[in-house]
Amino acid sequence: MTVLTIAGASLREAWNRRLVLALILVSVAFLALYLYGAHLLNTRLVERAQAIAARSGGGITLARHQMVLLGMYVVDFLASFMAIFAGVGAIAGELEDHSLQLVLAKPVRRWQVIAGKALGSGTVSVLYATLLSLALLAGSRVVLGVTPPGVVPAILLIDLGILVLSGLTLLASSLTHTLTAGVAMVMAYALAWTGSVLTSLGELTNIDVLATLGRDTRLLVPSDALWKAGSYYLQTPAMRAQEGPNPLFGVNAPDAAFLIYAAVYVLVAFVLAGLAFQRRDL
Amino acid sequence: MVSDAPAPNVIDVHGLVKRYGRRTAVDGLDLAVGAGEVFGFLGPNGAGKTTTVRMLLGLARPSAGGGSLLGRPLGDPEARRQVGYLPENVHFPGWFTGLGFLRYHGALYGLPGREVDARAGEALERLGLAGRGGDHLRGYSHGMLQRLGLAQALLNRPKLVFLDEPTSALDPRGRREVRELLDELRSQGTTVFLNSHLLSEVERTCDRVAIVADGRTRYLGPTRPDDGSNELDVSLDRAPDGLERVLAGVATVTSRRGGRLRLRLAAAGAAPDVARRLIDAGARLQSLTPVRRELEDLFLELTGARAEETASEASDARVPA
Repeated sequence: MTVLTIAGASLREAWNRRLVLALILVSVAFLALYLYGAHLLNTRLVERAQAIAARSGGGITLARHQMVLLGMYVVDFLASFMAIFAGVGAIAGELEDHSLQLVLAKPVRRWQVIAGKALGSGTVSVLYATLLSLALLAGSRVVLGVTPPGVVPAILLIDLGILVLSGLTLLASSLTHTLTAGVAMVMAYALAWTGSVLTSLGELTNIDVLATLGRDTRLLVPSDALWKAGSYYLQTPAMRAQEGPNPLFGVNAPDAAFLIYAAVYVLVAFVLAGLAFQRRDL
Repeated sequence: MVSDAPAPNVIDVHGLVKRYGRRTAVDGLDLAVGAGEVFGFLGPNGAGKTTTVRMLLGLARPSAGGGSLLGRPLGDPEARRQVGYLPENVHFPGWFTGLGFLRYHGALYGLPGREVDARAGEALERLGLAGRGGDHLRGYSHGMLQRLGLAQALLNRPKLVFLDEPTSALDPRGRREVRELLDELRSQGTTVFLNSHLLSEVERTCDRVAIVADGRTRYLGPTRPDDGSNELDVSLDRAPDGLERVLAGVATVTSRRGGRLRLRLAAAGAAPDVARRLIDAGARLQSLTPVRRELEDLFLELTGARAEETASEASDARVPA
């Protein structure tokens, strides 16, 4: 009950602090830009197809799917930073302004605070990632007339990646100050991205050391690898065959072991956040 | 330091120590507060007051020592069910309404929704915020927020309430209202642990005080110690001739300005003898008052130059984790 009370307060805070409003504005701006771009692309594609008498309709579909894929990449990017900024002050910020001391002077256990905050910031972030994905996919269907093959697994994997960042952010917020936690999380995001780039560079150039280094990094912060896993399902086999190893999108189906690892990772991050908070002097 | 409060004590701690790295904030502090007392917790900035309260509430873990709060070991969340707390400089999220804020904190106490609503309405009215419960806190003045904080601290009808500078943002009328509130709490048997720099307020409201300095208890006893009462202030219309001789054996004159005298008694309880001798000698006695030591004198004496040294430092510095 206490957990739900605290989670409810963080949700209401997100809503009332205009965080949601700001997000909606940014997201609408992004969607409008994306869909306008998609519309221009589509018009050009259709013109060309007519010009060359539609020698290969497959090429046009491929380009449309790639447009959707790029859009989803930006969705994941926005949702990732949303997860970081929604969670970075959850513990540290409220300790700094003493409002959490007011909560903890009540018959509330610290794990309940962490569980409530995890539930609150996790829900906001996952909801945002899911809704923005659905909006982009629906818009693409209208403008471009295509829908990626594996929408459900793709969104679930993106959500899991967002939860990874959410958990890690809560851990950072339980350990240190808001600003430090924010910087650490942006660096963690960058690390995950670098790991992905290294992996694809290693695979592309057949340099095993690079590929291994990249794969080890994805164990450290699995968020970007989860985006790549999700993006696999957003592509048709033809797209994957054409692309080959690349730094932005995954061309190999994710292995089950890694997905289990990522799910456990999220749980461990939340538990560690609880332990760190338990030990912290307020 | 032995407590003269009746057992069982609501707060009972011994040898409490808190170290942050090499800095010792609390250094073997003893404290005993009895049920129903209005207790003043005093000390210069940086004396370890805030850290002590944090340890009592389980927000910080003692490096050594320990004790009990409402009969339960320090840090036990169940004890906090009967505790109210208003820290200083707390941030009130502006997006809450007054009523919403109280509902949230009532829910954290585990109170059922209907009960919270009834008590919140009562508390708002009691603290002069009736009709403002629906307003967002961003529109509240500093004093209104402090009243709301007090309402929050009393929502669970606590047995023990910790108030940290509860009147700092209030005007004289507000201060008086808080004083009346404290009296009301006392009459209901609530123990109040008051942390304040306003010694005159403490003198008016508290039964007993502790004065801490450098993380240790320097004084634990009645708010107005009586050990200064061997001095008298005497006011005469006309001083008799040979005053020293008149008072010989019962008192000596320590200062004199016209008809105003400060006398030191030869023995406690000699005030009536002084009065009789002065009247017998033909003096017209207007007033005769025992000189009581002010809390401020005691405070300054016990905390010494440290008070001035630390007053300019950052208030009650705490080392974040």
